[in-house]
Amino acid sequence: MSRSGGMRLEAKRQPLEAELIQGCLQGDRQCCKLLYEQTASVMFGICLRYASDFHEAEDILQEGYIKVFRYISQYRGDGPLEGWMRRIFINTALAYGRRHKCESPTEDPPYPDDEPLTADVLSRLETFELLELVQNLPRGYRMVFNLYVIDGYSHKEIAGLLGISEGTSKSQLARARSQLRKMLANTQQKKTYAKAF
Amino acid sequence: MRRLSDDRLDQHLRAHLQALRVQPRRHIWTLVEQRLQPRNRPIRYLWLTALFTLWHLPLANDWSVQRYSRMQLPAIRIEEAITYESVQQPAFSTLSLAKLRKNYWSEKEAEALPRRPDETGELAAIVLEKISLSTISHPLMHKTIRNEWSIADECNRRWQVGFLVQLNNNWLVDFKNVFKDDVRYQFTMGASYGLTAGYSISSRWALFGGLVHTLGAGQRFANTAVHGRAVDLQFTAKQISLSYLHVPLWMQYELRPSAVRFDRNMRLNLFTGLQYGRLLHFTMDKLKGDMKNNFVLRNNEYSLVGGVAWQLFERDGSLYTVGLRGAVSTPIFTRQMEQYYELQRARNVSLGLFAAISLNRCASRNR
Repeated sequence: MSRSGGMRLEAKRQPLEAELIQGCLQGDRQCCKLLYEQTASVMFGICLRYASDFHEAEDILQEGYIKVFRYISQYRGDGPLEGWMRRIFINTALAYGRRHKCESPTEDPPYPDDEPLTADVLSRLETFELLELVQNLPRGYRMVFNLYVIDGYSHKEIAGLLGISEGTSKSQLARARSQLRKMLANTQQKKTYAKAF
Repeated sequence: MRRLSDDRLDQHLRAHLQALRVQPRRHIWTLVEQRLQPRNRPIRYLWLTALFTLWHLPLANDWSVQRYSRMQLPAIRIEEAITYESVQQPAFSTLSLAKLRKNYWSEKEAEALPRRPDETGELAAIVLEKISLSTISHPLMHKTIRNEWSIADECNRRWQVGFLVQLNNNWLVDFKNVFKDDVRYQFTMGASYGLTAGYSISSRWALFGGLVHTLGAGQRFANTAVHGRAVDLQFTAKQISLSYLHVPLWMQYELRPSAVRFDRNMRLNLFTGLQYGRLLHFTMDKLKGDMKNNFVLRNNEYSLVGGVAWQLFERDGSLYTVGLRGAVSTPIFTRQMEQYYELQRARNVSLGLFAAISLNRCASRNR
């Protein structure tokens, strides 16, 4: 029952997306706006992960959508539109990162490393706290971490995308994890102190 | 206490962040929409003007008229055709009348032609009608004759003294980043007014000079590379407003009457020249600048100017002209402050629509 209902829904949604794409291809602003409204929250989530702050994420979001609307004719329809858009946003974020390379420190910021990270720390953290931690990673680490851990790219693909060697990608990922552990431990410490006082 | 494994850490972060959905701020769509619209770059206007001029050039210029005359009007001897001058004379000469009779009218028809000065307009119409009916079959030919007719009144040496008013669309173009999309401009209007004077040194070339007061040059802009694209212009925009006394000097080349294209006696002029500008005062973010201690902006500005002017008509010895005029200046900031105000090597660029009235005195006339 629910399966057939789902299929009916799917059948209804499919032409809508196609119509939106068609509308965007014809330069219909209303269709562009609808597509934006339907996908903006997901895409902004991606941008936030790759950006170092909220404003940077908004920049990437804008640039990403400009690319989507300019190059929507290149979408062949052989996969979901969201997947194609995700790739565009990731590439936009990487390009943005390359342009602003020098603005972000590449060395590890100092974090205490005295307390081991435990599983319950993670469970106590909210999504936005985790996001903030990822955003605080140095740009290079953040890119590799996002690509590998969250978006499922292989080290070979990452090396191709970022123009680095596979070895560098692996070492950057290891450093990103290590940095995250330190930052999580730091957060854990802060929370403990906050509770105590 | 068990240490958290890499896989567990990855898994946890993936679970939280992979499906992260955050609604962006509302105005982001407006900014995206704005950027989807064609950009108002000065270069586009200049290209449009250039294209428009080039499109008109072959048909507007008189070599095309001569070509048409030679190719398609063998029967009509242009030099013997009715000229504006001949029909404008209070009582047209017997020579002209003889030509008329000989070429286009029978004696009886010529007798019926108007003779009084106030009927000359009517005569011109009759002449043209006669010519077109009797000898010209191609529609272009009719216009070609009218073309010649207007040329006949050409004054090849004239003095002009006039008044000019111009509305400018201004930009402060960051020439170091001209092909980047980092600076967002807000439409900035300015105005110029002043006196011009000129002398035609040949039937086509004229030399002009002027004294023009320019207000509101500059720009309201935001550097998105500094503030981010999503930031509203309202909060981050910089505004520079400049006022200059300009002394332009330009050469003007007259393309011959463009009657073929415009179906009227309209003259098209191209001009280009140099302009010196003296900074009179400036404001930055609406704060009036101190001209005595100004070390930010250059007091002297030099520009390349150019444009197109359409001489609409001449009435009671006054020429009425409208046109497009563009200018690109040397950098406005001093060498020490070249990268000031979020810009690098910023120059004043303006494209304006002008209207001019000039008193016109003919020094010598084509006969």
